[in-house]
Amino acid sequence: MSSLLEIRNLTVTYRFQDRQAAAVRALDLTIREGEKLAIVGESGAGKTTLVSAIMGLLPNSAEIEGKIFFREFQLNPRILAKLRGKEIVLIPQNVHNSLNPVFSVGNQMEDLLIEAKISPNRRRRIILDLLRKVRLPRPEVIPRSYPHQLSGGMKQRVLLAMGLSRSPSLILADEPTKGLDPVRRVGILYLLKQLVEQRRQSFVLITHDIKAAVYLSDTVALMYQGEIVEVLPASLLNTHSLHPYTTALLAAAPERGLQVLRRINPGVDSSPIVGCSYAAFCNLCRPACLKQKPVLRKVASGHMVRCHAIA
Amino acid sequence: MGDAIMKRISFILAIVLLIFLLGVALLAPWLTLHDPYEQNLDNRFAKPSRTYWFGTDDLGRCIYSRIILGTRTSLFIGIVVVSLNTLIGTLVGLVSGFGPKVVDSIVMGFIDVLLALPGPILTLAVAGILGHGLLKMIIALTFLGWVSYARIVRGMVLSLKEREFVESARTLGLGSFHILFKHLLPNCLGPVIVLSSMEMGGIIMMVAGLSFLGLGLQDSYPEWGAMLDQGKDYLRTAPHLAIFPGLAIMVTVLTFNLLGDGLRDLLQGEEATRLFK
Amino acid sequence: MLEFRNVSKVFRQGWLKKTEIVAVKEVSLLIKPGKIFGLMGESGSGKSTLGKLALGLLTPSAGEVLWEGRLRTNLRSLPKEARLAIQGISQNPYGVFNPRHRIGYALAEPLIYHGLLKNEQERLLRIREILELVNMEEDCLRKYPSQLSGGQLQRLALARILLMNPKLIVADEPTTMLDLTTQAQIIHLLKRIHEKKGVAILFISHDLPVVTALAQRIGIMYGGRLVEVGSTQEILTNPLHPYTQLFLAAAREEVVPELQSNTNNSKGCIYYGSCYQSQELCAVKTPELIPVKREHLVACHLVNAAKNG
Repeated sequence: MSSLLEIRNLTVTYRFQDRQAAAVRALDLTIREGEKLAIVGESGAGKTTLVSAIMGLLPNSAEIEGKIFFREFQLNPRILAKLRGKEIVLIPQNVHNSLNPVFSVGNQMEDLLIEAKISPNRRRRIILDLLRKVRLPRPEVIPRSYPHQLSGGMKQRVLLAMGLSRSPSLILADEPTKGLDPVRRVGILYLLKQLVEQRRQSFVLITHDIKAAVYLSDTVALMYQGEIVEVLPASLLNTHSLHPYTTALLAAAPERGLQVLRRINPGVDSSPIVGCSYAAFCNLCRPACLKQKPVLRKVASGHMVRCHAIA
Repeated sequence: MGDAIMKRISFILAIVLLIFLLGVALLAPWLTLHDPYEQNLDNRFAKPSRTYWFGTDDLGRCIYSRIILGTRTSLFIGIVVVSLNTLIGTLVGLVSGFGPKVVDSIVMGFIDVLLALPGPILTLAVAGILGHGLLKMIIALTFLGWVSYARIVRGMVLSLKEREFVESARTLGLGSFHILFKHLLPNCLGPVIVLSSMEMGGIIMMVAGLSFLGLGLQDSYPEWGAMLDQGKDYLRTAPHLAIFPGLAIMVTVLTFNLLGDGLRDLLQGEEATRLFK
Repeated sequence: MLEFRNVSKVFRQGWLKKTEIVAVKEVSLLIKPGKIFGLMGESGSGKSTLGKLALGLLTPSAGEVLWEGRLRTNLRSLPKEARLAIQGISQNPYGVFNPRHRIGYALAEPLIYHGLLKNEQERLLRIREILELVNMEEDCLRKYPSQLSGGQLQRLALARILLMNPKLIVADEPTTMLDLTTQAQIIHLLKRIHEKKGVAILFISHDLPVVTALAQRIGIMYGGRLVEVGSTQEILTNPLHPYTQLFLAAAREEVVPELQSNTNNSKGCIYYGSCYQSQELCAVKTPELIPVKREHLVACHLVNAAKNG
């Protein structure tokens, strides 16, 4: 499989007056055609920033270093403007604010297709088709409806339908299960799985829902403080994870007894600039961890870890 | 970054000018060259010179000294009117936004009616009816002036009162007055302060305007607008009568506009700083 | 103890059309002192509204909310202790504190306002005590909310209400916006507070594993109605209402439900449109919440029929 998206040494720094914070640090990531990747991390890990960087939607105050390649093109604002919504698509997290309240749903979906110079009849058919595909009840009624008439779950599916309308090569789904009750969550996960398996699209799931990550993806990358700390096949996540952060994350799940494995290491500042970023909470922390930043090293086929103690 | 520098410069400039103006207003009696009321009929329309820095007007009075004294007037009236407007407007806004819907409806209805009337014209009419005098001018300017404050404060209160920290305060048993003044008011202050400083410029302009039209303070009072009024007849022959008061008005209004801009950036910047951890 | 007696809450919107949203419909529930009750349901099921009714932030459109026999409606008329006995923490830890006040002030404010602990030394001592209970360092007192993380703010929110010595805490989705690791901390903290202080907790959430980790009794809400109530053990092993069964199965990822379109069923069972086993009766008559076993109540015609038949 050839590489669809290649991120090389990406660093995103937010500056405000005299302060700055690096949300993403020297990140390397490659997504191949048809690959299903999950990026798992908690808030502050940098996942949203990463997604915004790929989409070219970072605020002006953000400084970007490094390069992102989509197929053979290096991404810049001009190229991204052409690719967004067509080749690279984002299903946003905030379902309620992502649709324009003054236009009907059908209107907004048509906008995307008009640009592709599709005839009105075909447009209508495609829209209905898409709405059926995302399993919305009574899809005939939806195009006439306005966003406020739809429930959150329905809006999410409309956004999904919109994302699929131009047959993108890369779909980014930002926290699709956040805050959802079990019934809705299962519904959207199953739908995503179906849609994603059918096509040869690359799919990147950004989430902190570990079970969703395992269900929907082939590979899982764990992010912590702007860096990828572990990459491994999804099937191995629950049993063979190695990085102490991953272990702590898994242990904290309610099914595993809500264990809090993170400890405050004495003498370590909560965000050391030198050394490993997880040192402050790590149970395997040793002197070397405070001095030198570990690099991502391969420990097995398809499995990489960033940790002095492990690799 | 250039943007930030420009903002900083204009803000510092505004502060400097403000201090300057306040200084002039406070020290006015000591800064005048001659008695501002003293008429010197042999020396009318004198051009600016060593003795009369800004020249003399149509009655031979020292324009410089009148301008200096006029600073006091303008700033004094400006501060008093704006303070009154802020006070009244904020109180009305707080009560209207926080109180029962009935009260809000009545107050807003009243305000809507007031706003439907042509503001400056109404102010002129009121000033005309009341006649000359400092107090009367202040009343005329406060008559409609408080309304914008009320609307802003009310709007902020309406949105703030749904916020979680207000709900928390309620469940913790904190009373309405306490919530209103300790929690809501401080969060409204930002826009109110910005509005105040920008309105200063407007008020000073209104005062000048009223005097220019012959309303407001008495004729001989050294007020910039009145001086403009006197000077307008002689623009061809002795422009300095109008130029200096005009400049004074411009500088003062500019100061407050820049001040308002700077404060707004500062206060919004503060909020932003707080959010940026 | 907290009692809901046939409580309904209707929200009216609009000027001309006057649309009505029935958030809570005829809910009767008893929450015993010193116990943790988990209230579950999807968003829009009315669970948060019920929490606000308990706190007194909303007044019922029908029915009564009683705390230890007293109505929760006119809070000002209640004696201070009764009024402050129920406190709450909410979903958004970032919004709970006034951004302009330091934490130290925020914690002391209610104490000062109500004239409890007038002595400053005593206050500080008590605050220190509570801070230790919630695992926070004393230096947080000097900080502004914006300088603290979500987890820290949530712990401080708990600290603030604990200073009032509440008998019941209404926790409305307190971990939804928090990370997994922080969530674990907060849940442990709630448990600790419950054990140490004997405080009752009304825990509102749709996160099944979290609720089952904490609560002794569980109630399920759907469309504003309470459809099933029972002990955690009982509900998990023997769910009787069709919606509860769906909810649990979905949480275990055993079934995939279709998305429901908005049905507004004013007559009959609230779950009628989506139920897999409905009958004609269900469309016409609202089932009542009836005990099927000891302490296990269900609102479903078919379940009741099975029990009787």
